[in-house]
Amino acid sequence: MHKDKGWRFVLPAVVVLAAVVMFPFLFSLYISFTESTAYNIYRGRFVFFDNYISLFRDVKFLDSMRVTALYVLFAVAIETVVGTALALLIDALPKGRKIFMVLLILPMMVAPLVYGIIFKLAYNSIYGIIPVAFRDLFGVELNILNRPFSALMAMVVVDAFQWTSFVFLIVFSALQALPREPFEAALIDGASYWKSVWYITLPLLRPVMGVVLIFRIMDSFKVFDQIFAITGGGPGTATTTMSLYTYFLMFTRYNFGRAAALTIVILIAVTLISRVVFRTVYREVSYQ
Amino acid sequence: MRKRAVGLTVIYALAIIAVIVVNAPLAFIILTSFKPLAEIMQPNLKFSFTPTLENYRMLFSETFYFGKYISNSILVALLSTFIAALVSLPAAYGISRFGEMKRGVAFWILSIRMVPPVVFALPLFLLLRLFGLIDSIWGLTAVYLTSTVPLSVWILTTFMAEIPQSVEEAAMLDGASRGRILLSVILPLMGPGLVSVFILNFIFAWNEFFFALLMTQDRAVTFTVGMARFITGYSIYWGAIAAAATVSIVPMLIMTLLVQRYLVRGLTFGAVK
Repeated sequence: MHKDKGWRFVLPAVVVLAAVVMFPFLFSLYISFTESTAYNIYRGRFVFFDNYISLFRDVKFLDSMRVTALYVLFAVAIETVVGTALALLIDALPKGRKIFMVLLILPMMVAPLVYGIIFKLAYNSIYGIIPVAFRDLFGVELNILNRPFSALMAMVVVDAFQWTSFVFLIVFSALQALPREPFEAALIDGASYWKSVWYITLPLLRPVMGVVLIFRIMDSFKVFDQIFAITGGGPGTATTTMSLYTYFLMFTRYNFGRAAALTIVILIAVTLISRVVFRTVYREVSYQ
Repeated sequence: MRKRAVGLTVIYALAIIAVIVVNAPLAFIILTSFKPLAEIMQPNLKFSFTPTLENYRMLFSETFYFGKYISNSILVALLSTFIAALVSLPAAYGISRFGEMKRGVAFWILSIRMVPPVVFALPLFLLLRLFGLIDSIWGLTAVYLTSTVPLSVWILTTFMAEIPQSVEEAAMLDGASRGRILLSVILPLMGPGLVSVFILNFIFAWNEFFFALLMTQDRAVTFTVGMARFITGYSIYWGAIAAAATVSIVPMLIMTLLVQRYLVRGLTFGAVK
């Protein structure tokens, strides 16, 4: 085999990715060491690590980390539990599994912004269907988006409505591919359905759950569209995640230097995490 | 036997309830799009209404430019998908047939998938501005390549790996070059791979909001940004927004049906098949 020849085929993709990913990254790195603002974008004064130092003294940045962590924690927990339960439920159906599967994965194909619009209308404190239903049926006045914690949990609910379907799809597909023998053996031994789920199905699902968790953690960490549409980060900074905070630094405060420093911090964190992930999850996968 | 029948009824009932709850938000916005505006903003529970197409008429009227937004969205989606497929097909071939670079390239591409878009937003915005590409179809297409190229390379690699080497060996014995083999032996076998790449990339570009919000102002505004402009304004045209949301949802639902066989692979970058 000619060992050098493979690169010829990969080159076009590498050139494109170098242009749209690597070059911008290096540019961002440069900006992060300068005092770049809207008035001197490309020739800000070189300030070494000042942007990084001020970033970690920035209360709003630290707060956005807290908001993001809470959001990811609650959203991923709910989606994993409900999605797995749904997958087990549909897997237990003797017939019509495929139709139910397709009907349950529709939410994740829709734009997150559309979910933002749906729930902005549904949460409206005057005519939104959720506060109205609570008022008419239970006589409870809800002001969902006006209190910090309930606003954040309302954002988690939106995420869960859309992305539980992702967990469901992956776990359900994995269930279809599980070997049948352990279950037949358990049936002969007289194990109940719940016992075989707990002692056979869930342990067999462990590697897949790893993949699901990683994709959900990474993707909910990125959240922007829905929150931007529903609360714009408020009340106060209660729903300002790291993505929203970076956006505000860039396009309302025009502090490009600090924003660039923030993106570099995010990038380093994500690279470290995905390196660990890659080692553990993709170790077994081979493409021969 | 009776007990089993009861159990089956219960799990089917639960499954149907699950389908209803999961799709309730989508059903809600689609129904809302056929409601008169006065009834959308009514502060009480009322489930009957006279359906109207008024909201759709408003959405596609001269006041809003939704025809333009939709064609922008489709154009950017097609361009970013097509360019991605063009560079990814040979890349996938190289990665799957020349083992030594698999791990390095695979890791690099996976890392790009994990990076939040906000990381690329600032430098890409500043670079596009430098080249005068803000608010242009080509500028937005270049930005979308950050996502469509890694996704395409990855999916095509998994499809490529399923084509046995023996198919190529025959052609190689006849003296065909690697490039020739890719075009006349591999390409005809990649139909399903290319279709799923096309659809997954199209869905991504159609649904994308964040980059479009930053990189477009007027001429290149896409569908999602157009929708968001309804709510940031002083008065909220809920009827027209609901109609726009419905228009955005329907093609995605059709594509789901077309591509569901390959969804899992595409969504997890091949980690689950």
